[in-house]
Amino acid sequence: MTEYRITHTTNYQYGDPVRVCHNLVLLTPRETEQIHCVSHRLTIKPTPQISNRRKDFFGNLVHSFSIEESHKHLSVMASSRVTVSPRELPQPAATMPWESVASRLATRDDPNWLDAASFLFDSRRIRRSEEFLKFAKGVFTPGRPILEAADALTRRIHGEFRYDATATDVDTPPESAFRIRKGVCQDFAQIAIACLRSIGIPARYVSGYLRTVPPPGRPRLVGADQSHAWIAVYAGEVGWVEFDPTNACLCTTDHIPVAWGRDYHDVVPMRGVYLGGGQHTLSVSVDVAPQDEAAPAEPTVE
Amino acid sequence: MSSHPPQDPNSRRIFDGYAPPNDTFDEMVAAGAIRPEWQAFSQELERIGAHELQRRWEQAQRQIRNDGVTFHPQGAANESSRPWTLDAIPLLVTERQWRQVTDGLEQRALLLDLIVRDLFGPQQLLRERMLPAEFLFDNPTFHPAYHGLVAAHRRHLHLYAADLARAPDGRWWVTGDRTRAPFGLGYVLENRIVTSRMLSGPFRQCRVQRLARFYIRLRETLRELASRYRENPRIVLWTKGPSSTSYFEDAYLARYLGYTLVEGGDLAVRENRVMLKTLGGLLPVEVLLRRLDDDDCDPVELSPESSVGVPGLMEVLREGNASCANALGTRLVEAPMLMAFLPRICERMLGEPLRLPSVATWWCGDPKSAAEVYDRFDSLLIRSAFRTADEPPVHPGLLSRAERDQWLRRVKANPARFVAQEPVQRSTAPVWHDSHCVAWSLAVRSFLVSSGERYEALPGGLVRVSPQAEVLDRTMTAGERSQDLWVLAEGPVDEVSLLAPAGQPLALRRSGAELPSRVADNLYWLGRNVERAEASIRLLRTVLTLATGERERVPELTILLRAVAEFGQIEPDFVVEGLRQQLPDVIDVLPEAIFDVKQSRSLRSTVDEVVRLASIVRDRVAIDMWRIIHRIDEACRRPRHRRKVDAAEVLDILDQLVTEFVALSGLSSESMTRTQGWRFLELGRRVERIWQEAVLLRATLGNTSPDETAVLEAVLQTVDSIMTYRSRYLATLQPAAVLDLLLTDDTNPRSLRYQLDRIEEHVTELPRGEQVAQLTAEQRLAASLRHSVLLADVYELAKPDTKGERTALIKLLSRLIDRLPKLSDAISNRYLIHAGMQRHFAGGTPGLSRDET
Repeated sequence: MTEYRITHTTNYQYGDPVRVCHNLVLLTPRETEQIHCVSHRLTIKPTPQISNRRKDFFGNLVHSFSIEESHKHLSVMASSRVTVSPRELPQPAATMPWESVASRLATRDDPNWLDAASFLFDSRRIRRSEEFLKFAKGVFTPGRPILEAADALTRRIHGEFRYDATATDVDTPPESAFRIRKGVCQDFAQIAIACLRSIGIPARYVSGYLRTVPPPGRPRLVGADQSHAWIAVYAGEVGWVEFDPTNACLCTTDHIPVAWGRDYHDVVPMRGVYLGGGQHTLSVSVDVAPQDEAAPAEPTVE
Repeated sequence: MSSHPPQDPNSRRIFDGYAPPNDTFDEMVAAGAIRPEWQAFSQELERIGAHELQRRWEQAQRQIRNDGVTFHPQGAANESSRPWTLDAIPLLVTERQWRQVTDGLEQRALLLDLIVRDLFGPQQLLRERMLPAEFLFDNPTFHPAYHGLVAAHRRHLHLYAADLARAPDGRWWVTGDRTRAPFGLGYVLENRIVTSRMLSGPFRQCRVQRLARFYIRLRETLRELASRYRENPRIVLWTKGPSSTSYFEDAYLARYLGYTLVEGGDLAVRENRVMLKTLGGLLPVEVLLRRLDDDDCDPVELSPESSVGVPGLMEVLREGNASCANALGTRLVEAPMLMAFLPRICERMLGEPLRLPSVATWWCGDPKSAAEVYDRFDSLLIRSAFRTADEPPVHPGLLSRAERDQWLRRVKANPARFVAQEPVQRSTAPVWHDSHCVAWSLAVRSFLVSSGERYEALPGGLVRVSPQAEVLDRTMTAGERSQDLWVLAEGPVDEVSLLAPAGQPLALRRSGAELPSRVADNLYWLGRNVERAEASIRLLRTVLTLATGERERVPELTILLRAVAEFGQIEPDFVVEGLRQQLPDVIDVLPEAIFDVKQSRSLRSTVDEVVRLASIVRDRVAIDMWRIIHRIDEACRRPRHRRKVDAAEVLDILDQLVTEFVALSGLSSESMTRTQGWRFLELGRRVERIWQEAVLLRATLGNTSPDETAVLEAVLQTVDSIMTYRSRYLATLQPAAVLDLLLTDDTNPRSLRYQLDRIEEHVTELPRGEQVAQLTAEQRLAASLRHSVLLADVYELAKPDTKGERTALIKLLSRLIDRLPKLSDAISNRYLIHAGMQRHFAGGTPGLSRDET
């Protein structure tokens, strides 16, 4: 079991006063069988006049808040302590053939078919297509066990795509990133999801954090120090299993999910509308420090 | 050349020669005989006679036009905003027949509401496999934020419309469900008002059921949605805005129902409540009757691209602090796909069979249905399974081979996104065409409103008719004509009405209704543009009269043209040195320049602006004002089929326009209630009039000229004060006396002093908010301008210096011209503040800090 202290700070500095803003944030680590959120605090300055929290359709914890007094600076700091325990997974080679997973869902024989169904079809940003289907079929060969095939898909994306933070932006559709074979975690996750859905396997978009400093002797993971994104594959009896296409790995105790949905649009960490403001500057910092370490790492500020 | 003797049109019978096709159901005729329910009506109509019917019909169309239905917000005057012409003949249905239809529709409304509530709640329909998962999760109109937004025990669907067609066997079928913000309730009303007037005799004879009760029920239902102030909650009609196709109807309905018409920008969320931004401050809104798409309602949680939504609205709705009708997300059940599953769902949820059938529908996502569809592909209609926009269906049988195959491939590639439907064989009814009756196909839209545990149907509907039945399948606005639907009562009819008697000028609004700041802004600019147009017309008229007159030498023309150029009516180049040589050119160019829409200050451009602003505030201005503006719009047009427009023709137009503008002023001073809205209209007029006159006086009297008398006369003529002057001073024209009349005389409604007095009154009466003790900025500015005119000595002003320049006059007028925009801004800043641009946070994006390696 690993314990982390996570701080995620977002600062907006505006040129002109903002008269009012309405926001939704998804910044609370999501509890699962493996992940326990020991404590969580959301600090917003200036203090909102209205704030509320609820679970959204996918079960993510959403905080909504409105600031209705003039302000030139907004800071949102989420600090959490979580414990992550490793998950016992069957040998990938011993899992169901992927076609059975798909067909049991199509016939609604899988007991979780309704939950999985939200992640099976097209969503706002991710559309199934012939192109993705072909790419997926390259690794989803007939009869291949689902986890083995999903792992292979992750590795294939990692192998054939280049991490390039300048090649795409937040609104780049997966088709474009797929064609240029470049992108960041968001692009890789969305491409993997499009491939899986195109062959009838439900897939979720997961946003969350990576540990900032790797354990001794292991390389630093790409995407640490910021919000990260990966995927979860529905693997039949095994349930949802998370993979990180950016780092070509199965997610274990280095990944801490915050929210999941059909695509990025469902899990935007901070969304909202404000009036006024003029020019603004934004700075975000994320620090994910394992608690057993003697000295927490300095937060990296972008 | 005909061998028949010419027939007297009065003797020809209306229904003579009416021959509906044999293979369809005809509403009026069965087996060659007129159906019983049409007999009284047809006799009444024959009594009116073909000639008279034609005359009344033409008059009705004029009335519709004058009521401003043809007003197009973009000023494209030839483009009608009314989708169809109203026909001379209504569609008749007996109460008993109609009851069968509405019984079925009441059940259907109840069922659709239950379906929405289940899908946004427990989703039993999915769990029990009454509906495939695709219905929700592959549906582009589903947004997770709709789930759980309104408690599942509460009604979601308040207003529902069904599109109907009647099959050859006489049964009615539902061809479409509308559950978002059904279009047509305003047109139904207008059709009824016009038709009942056109055919007042038959209307009374036939005992037509009245519509008002339905609208009263709608108001009750909306009132009951309020969680607070249930006696008199603030309810608004939320329109998408003047550029939307339904804007005319939105304004019409708002006026009829007595709700404030608002756009997204008029609303704001504060302290978890929806607020209406008014001149007097923010006022809480309890219920929103929305007329825009579900996804556009809140840019925070729904479509971020929406600029017509209210940020933070969903959170307010979730808290139950406001209600929206229909609830957000109800558009979901408009999906044609649902029709394939409705009979089973009805049995399951209501324990009874579906009373009114839907048009036969196959969902291609089901392999068995798909096989059937591919088999009969050419004889079916193909539609999108979900309804996101008004997409007409495809009829593969009418396509070329290649196109047809392409559609088949498209369906096979993504079958779950398509449905196939049996084409409808529509019924026919008589339509008045070319002075006789012809049988056209028809479509009916019927409306229901929730009423306690049930739904109540409108005893009427919107009928669309077309000579080609397929056209009616396309969209709601397709079809050539619309008809009023008369449901004939068996007993006496109840006389209920919400509407003021026709023809009565509908003044700005009953008192007590709040004025949204945006509307005040539009009224202010409407006032300014009306005045600007009038001033231009008067100046142009003076100039053209002088130019086309008999006098050989018209020295004052040069000076007046300087003013014309200052107002941007002509290029300033025309007024430089050597003007005398160019003079004929100017007179040549001016008539064309008046209609030049590329010149932003040309008369036509100003009139366009008047029309645009008036159409935006159409729910706030009197019907009569509307008619005048419509006439101004029509009159102010370049004479067609002329290569060159001459001055005499233009003078005619200008004369007519002056009369219309005088009527407009009269209406505004005599027929408008003194609300805040009226004040803003007036403020606009007064501010503009000062500006116009100050510029005119500076350009014409700033320097003395050898022909001063002629100039003075032209100026008095232009500002409509010549009569007053003559009555005081007879023929003696002197600068000081003229300046007194036009500047300092507080009894002349054309003087600057008079305008400033009125402005001061108006700004004092505007709502003031917190700071009551001291004068507001606009009060101070108005007072200071007024004092400078008040203290002016006209003899001093009239005195020229050695170079012939009236420095004191120029100084005073320049001060007015310079300070006036400040006054205008002060008013805008206090009362007419716009929301400003909405921006979206773009923070916390994964991979956003893209300097990562």
